[in-house]
Amino acid sequence: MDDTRHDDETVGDIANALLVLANVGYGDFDSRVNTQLSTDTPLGALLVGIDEMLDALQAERERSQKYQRELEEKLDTIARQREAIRELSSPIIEVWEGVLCVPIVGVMDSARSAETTETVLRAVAEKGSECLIIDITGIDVMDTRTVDHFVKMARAVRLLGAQCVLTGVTPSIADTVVQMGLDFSGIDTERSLREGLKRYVARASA
Amino acid sequence: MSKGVSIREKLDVFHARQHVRGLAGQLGFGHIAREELAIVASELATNILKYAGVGELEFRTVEDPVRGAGIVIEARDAGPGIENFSFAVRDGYGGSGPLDPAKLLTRGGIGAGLGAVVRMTDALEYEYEAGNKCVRATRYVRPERRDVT
Repeated sequence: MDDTRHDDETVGDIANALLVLANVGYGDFDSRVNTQLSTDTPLGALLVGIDEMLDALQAERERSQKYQRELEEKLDTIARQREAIRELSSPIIEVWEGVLCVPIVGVMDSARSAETTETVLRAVAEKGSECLIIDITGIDVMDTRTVDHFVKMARAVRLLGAQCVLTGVTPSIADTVVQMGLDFSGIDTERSLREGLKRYVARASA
Repeated sequence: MSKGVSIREKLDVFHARQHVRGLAGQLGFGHIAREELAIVASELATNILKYAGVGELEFRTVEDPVRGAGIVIEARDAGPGIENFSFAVRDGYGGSGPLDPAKLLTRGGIGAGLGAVVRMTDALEYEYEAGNKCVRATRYVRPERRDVT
């Protein structure tokens, strides 16, 4: 009789262990076998060993989840900073000999328009460029005064002997310009940066 | 509901803009209005950096019985007060009078920051008390704006 009871218990312990392992298979690392058997018996040693392995697995999983969270946070920060860098600066790219291109993305406030003017005029003078393309596809809204300032900047570029082209003017900015009655004479505009590049790069390489 | 964004460096100006964009989106501001509010936050934050060095931008939502929902942006710092606020909001003017056009660029702006704020908000108030400066701009969702040119 004793033997039979013992077999039942053994079967129960093994079934229990299998349930725990099935849980692990479903991603639940919390359940344990918690056997009453002593580690002196082979089955007891195995079951305790399973629990120990699960403890280690769980700890490892928590650590890797923590790493993943940290990594995601870092990637998020990098993405935000990259966006900030794009919004806070206006790179001046020499796309072709004598052709400078300034893509402006984000928000154009008064401080940035002053900065842009300064760097643009300096670059045109230093490089002796023939043409400056300012692309404002990435700008949806500009204060009337800032638009006015842009027009003045374009005139200053002409004074330096270069052609100033404005590309990617959005409908709302076009509206601002017309409402304000700004004088755009002497400033070339192209529908898109692509059109601007095509025309002026062709001219520069001719 | 209110939230403060401390302004200490240029990157904070960006954070202030991101915050106001999000808030304006929740309140139902359209895309253009949202970008205008981003410019407003930008100008106010830049002024803090320029004149006081450090300060804070606080964003609040308001509900007016007539005008409906709106956003209040309060720019606070302990910098020197603005000598004459009605001068400062005029384009090409500083707090103490007209700016020299030849020196406009070297002061890191075009002298039109507060002017832009006036144009893009419904109300602009200025308070100065015991060394604490506060510029408060309010913009409502409903487009019932005065036109300033």
